[in-house]
Amino acid sequence: MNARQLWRRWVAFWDRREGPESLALARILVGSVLFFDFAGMASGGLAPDFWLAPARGLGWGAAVDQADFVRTLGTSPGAVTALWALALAGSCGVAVGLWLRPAALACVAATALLGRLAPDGERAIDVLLRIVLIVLALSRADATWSFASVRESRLGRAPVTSIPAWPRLLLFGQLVWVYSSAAQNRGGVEWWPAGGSVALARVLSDPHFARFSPGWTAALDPLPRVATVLTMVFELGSPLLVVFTFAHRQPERLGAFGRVVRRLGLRWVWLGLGASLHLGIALTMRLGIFPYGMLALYPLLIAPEELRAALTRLRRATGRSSAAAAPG
Amino acid sequence: MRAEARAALIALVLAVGLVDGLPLPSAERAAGFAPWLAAPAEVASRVQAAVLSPFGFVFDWLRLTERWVLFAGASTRRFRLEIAARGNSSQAWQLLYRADDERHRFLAELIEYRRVRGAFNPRTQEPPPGYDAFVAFIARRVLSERPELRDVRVRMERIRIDDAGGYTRTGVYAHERVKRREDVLP
Repeated sequence: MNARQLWRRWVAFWDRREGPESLALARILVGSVLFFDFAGMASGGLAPDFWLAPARGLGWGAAVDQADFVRTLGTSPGAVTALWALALAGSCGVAVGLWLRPAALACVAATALLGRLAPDGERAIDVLLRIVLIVLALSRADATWSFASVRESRLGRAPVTSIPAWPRLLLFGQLVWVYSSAAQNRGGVEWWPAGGSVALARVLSDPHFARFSPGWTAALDPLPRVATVLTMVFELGSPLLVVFTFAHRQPERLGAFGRVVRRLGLRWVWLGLGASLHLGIALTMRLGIFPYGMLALYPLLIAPEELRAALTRLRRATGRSSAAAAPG
Repeated sequence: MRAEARAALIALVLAVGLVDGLPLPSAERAAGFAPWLAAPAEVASRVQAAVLSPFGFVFDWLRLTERWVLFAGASTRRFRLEIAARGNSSQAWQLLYRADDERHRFLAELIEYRRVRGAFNPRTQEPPPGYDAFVAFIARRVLSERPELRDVRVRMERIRIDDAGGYTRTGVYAHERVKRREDVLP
């Protein structure tokens, strides 16, 4: 294959179209996670004070910021309140699919500025969800399951059944890269068999993160070591998800390997492992929105037609059970 | 947008993201390498910085990165936050909050919120840059809710995490700070 043919295939790949369901579900979940995080700060007495200059808040970044207007923001309760409100309203707009583009971009701008004011308050999940919001802003993730689609329907317009696939594919790659990069940056020998794979037992015993009283993992040994190995296998092997997905959809293109992948359901095994990892984190550690934010991106790993098929099965199953429960 | 333009833009975004995400060692870490390894690491870092320089403003303003560091190390030498207060300098310190201590949970929900934890939880043996801001912030909150108190002390007990799980207290404290009422409240 020459360079011209390669380029044509590259253009064709990013020009594909698909149903809007996967992106729409990810939009709803991502927007909801962010909304509840920002709303929770208010109910916990942290918004908007958190971003104000010390001692009222933790916004120490404003005083050392190179931009004049950021320094000013940090000392103004009104401006900080407005940024928090913008992040809250933006995440709500994203979740319900109302004015998606301005809502997502407002949320990106507000969270980036708030992050400058209080740099320690930002974790990896905040950065990742900001990237996701940028891509969602450029997508048609509001084409279904949204206020925008309801409005279009009331205006008598036909429902949108096909949207550009590139935002989902790009975010699919982003999620794979997050896992792969996390494994590449694991410098500690404790994550590897040479170090006894004791990393998770240690992390679960750190009193700043542990949900349960540290020490409970000792009774489960060697389960935490097995979990550490599985975490590393999962993260290092994350690029395999691309291969598994391709093999799942077009097994004939990969010959015997493709058939084995499909028969063993390796793609679903990988996705199940990832979901279990995050559910395990949610259960055993206090990491805030991290596990939920990551799980919110999992619909992006599922093709819209698979999601539609799953929903149809679910509707049939619930229909059957309600029919069975109905008297007479 | 034309399909070709979009594909080109995506290729550029992916390339820039991958260069930013390269797991290159920091200058301090590379300095500890053998010379034959340190030199290529330094060159690679310089090339990375040069390639990224036209896009630096995007990463800076939107606070983005493609280098994902999630629990990079799980050291055995960790810390346990402790917050105490007293009414005056002749009184003993009264423990209000201690991590993993069910009997001392004053303001626990606030302290354990993920964004607040980021301001005190040390990733290395040093506290994060916002630690002093955290001390002032929490002292203000404590003294606002407990008008009878005058001083707040924040410190970290050094602990040693056991490989099988659990930890051993050392009784040695680090990063101790004391704030008086007049320091944090008008």
